[in-house]
Amino acid sequence: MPDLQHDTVILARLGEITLKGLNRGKFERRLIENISRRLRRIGSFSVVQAQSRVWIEARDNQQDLEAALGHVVSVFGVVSASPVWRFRGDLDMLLAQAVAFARTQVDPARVQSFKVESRRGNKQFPLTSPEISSRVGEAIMVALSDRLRVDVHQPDFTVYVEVRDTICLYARVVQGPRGLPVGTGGHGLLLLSGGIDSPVAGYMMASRGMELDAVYFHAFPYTSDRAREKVLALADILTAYTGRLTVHIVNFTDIQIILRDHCPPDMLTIVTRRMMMRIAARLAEKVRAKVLVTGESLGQVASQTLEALLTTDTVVAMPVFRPLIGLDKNDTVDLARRIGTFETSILPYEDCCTVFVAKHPKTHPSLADAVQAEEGLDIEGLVGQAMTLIEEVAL
Amino acid sequence: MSIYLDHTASARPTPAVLATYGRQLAEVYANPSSPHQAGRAAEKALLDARGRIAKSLGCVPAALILTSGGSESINMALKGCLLRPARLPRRLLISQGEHAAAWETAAWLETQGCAVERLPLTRSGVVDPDAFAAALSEPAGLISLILVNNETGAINDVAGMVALRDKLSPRTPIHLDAVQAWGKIPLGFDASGVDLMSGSGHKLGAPKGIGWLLRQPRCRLDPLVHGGGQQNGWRAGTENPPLAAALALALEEACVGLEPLARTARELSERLLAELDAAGTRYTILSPPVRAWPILAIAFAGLRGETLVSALSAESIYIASGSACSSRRSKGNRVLAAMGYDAETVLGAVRISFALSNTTDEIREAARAINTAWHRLARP
Repeated sequence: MPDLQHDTVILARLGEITLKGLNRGKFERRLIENISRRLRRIGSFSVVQAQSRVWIEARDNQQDLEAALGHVVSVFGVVSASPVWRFRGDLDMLLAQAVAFARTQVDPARVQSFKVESRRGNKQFPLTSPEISSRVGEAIMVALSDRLRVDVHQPDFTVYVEVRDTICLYARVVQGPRGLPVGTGGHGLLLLSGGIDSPVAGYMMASRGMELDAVYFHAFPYTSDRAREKVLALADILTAYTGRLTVHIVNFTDIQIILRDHCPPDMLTIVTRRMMMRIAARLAEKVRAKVLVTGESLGQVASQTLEALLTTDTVVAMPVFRPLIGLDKNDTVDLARRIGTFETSILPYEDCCTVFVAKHPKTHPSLADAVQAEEGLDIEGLVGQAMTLIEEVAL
Repeated sequence: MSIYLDHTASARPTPAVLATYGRQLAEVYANPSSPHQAGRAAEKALLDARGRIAKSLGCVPAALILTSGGSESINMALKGCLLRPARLPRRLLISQGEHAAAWETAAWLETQGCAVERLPLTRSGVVDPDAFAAALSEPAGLISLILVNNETGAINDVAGMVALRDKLSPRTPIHLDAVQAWGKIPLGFDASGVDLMSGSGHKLGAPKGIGWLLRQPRCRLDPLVHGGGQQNGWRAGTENPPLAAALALALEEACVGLEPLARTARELSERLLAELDAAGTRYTILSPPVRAWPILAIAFAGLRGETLVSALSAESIYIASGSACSSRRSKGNRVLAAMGYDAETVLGAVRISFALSNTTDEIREAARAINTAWHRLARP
């Protein structure tokens, strides 16, 4: 009987990153950094990369590997992850470990079916992959014939065997979010409201590796403190995907009052949004973000018609990314549910876009309409004033 | 220092009530149903409190069913009357001025096969007496009406309604949701002529978690909470002598304070309006001219109630908004709408409620804050 020592570790698989060419190392290093930073919150883990995979190991046996797994599979760049048994040894060792491993998968309440799938990276190992599967399956059946039966088509669980310089056994494969590691896709400024869309937009850009700051326009007391808390709660949920996130809260009340008193009611929403974009662009320069990100979707509301979007775009010199532009609202809602922002987004506290909304806002404003509505406003003064009224909350 | 003008939502307990409650929590911890000495001491404390509570409410202790609060009491009255096998039809009369506790219970009873008639309000926020009389032309299993409206302070005419009931439909019991009436207007259960009456402790300075339903022996009712047979089987659940003692004291204080409160609240509310007028702030008073004085419903022109609540809150001045809105659906105020106010007015509604502890200085400060907020934020 061989000594049945093994390490329990987490194996994370990478997707798109492995297709990268010369800068693949940069992507991998960033991914390892992101996973490490996430795990630092819950304990002491080593995170190393080998053979196009990332291995996560607890530094001592006090660490909660299951919690770590949960964090690992929320890091962009990870395709999937598994808790694995890892050990060195020969065929006898493999068979003994596989039986012990299968025992941990047995459901005491019922007889289950299983199969074995093997991969052999170490060509020195004396058996081929199909032979490994067959020998391991046989050993498990002999030991646990009263609990298990073989079903290669629809098994209740699969024992995966990977033979490389070490041998790995695992049965669970937890899907990750895929995408690219945050920090490899540049830096953007997300216009975050309390709604359903903008957190999803932030999530989508983060999934392409973009690092984010967020800006929220707060018009207290037209928007209540609860609205502000709601936005911060949404941002906090987003940090599970984006990593560190700073929310810049612009005190927008006085500007909103000035705009309301100055502009025709049917142009107020557009003028307000143009002002927000200008302030956001100025803030983006300050935090060195290269692009603005919004949750707008074409035609969703009056301020998101093509004309309205064009009218707001003209006031900023940087690109505006709108990852939801072609998405149906239902798909956005599904995504919001999946990333955990939906329940918070639907809390009934309004954002400042809706406080003074006209009964019939202009749906097809021309640039000339907007310019005319803003005539006489000290735009530069207002933007400058807003920049002095920003509170930063680092999450 | 904060200025609390939301006593209708929940009143602040006096130091004496807190002291009684704290002392009894420490000393009277045994179960009043236990036969040992500690249990009997708890029972004695409970009986003493029940006697005092009944006295303040104008009834005998046997009429008193202690509950967890107003909502439970109202649920018990409505469900306990209408869901029991009875000779009376399963028809419930309520008004459009009811608190959600009765309104939503009635809606649920509809799903259980009861017919519910919702009587209209007059512009003063009370039940339209003609509609009330007309509804009584058919037999009903229960009439349930709010006595003092929690939004406006409007007082329904109990004597008039009891007289009409006695004349037109003498067997139909009347339940009064008197949650906002106790401690604000003179009231006694036996003298009222109604069959059931609800109340809630925290609205008049007792801790949260205790309320009551009063029942005349002639009124047939099923219990809502079944279990260990406490309170003669009317409401199961271990009785709470410390809460009952705190309630007894809070009620006694409220009875003593009744007349001074009415006088003070009226003066404070007039002072507030005078300060608003002096600053040119524009508003509509939604409360009727005669009302439970501690409650003042008022709508400011061109300023949402919620916005004003937030603005004052930032200065530690606490009032209530008359309606909750959300970004995409404006949830108006059912009661104010039933009084005939338009959506714009309803959106601007707030409720300011006074207690004996409020001072003229506080009202002057609150008025200053309202005036400042209105002139800065409102666009009438």
